[in-house]
Amino acid sequence: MLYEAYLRGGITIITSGPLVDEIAGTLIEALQRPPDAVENFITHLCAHAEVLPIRHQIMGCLDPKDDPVLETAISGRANFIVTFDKRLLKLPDYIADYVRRQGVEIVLSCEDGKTFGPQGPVKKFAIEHLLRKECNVP
Amino acid sequence: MSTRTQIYLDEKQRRALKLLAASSDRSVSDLVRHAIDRLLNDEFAGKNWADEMDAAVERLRSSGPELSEAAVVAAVEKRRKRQHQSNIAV
Repeated sequence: MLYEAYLRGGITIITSGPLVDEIAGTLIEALQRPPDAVENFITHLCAHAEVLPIRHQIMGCLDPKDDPVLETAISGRANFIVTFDKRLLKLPDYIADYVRRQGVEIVLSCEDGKTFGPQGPVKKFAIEHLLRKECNVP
Repeated sequence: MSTRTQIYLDEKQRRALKLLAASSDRSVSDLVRHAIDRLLNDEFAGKNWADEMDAAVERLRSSGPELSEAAVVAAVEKRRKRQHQSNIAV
């Protein structure tokens, strides 16, 4: 549903260099996807996303690799971070409160495996670290 | 909403743009935006972005085995750990 809304233009994806790097690196190195397919995907993704410069602020996440996710969301004034990363969903209270005060809600990407339609988990991964705003989907 | 973007122009481009701006009573920024719109219209004419994006995702998905969400999360974790270890090693 979210993915379809994204394709319809109902969602703006906000991302940044470190997030794109992590998606590409994980797809190629850990998930063994062909580099040319990954490059093609990233090109299309970035062409229709807000790719923001970030300052690599320390946000205090338990895993520092999560810091850019929060910084990107806040910097881009995202409404939501869509993820199934348990650490992001259970941030320490002081960080969670700060993020919430910035207008960003952290939500689970899917609970029934159908959020992104029948396209499969790679598609979910592709969006896992990305952020949506002005989301009009039900 | 517009966002501020910095670009580098060579001297010839800069002079020509200023001349055109002065003669057409438009700002250089307006001319640059107009040129970008024309470029994008040419580049994307007849193309459906959603179809192309979907094809790119489908190509990515079908280029390897189906993975569970847990496997994808594990792959992210594994890569992060490996990077962390290599950073420590350095």
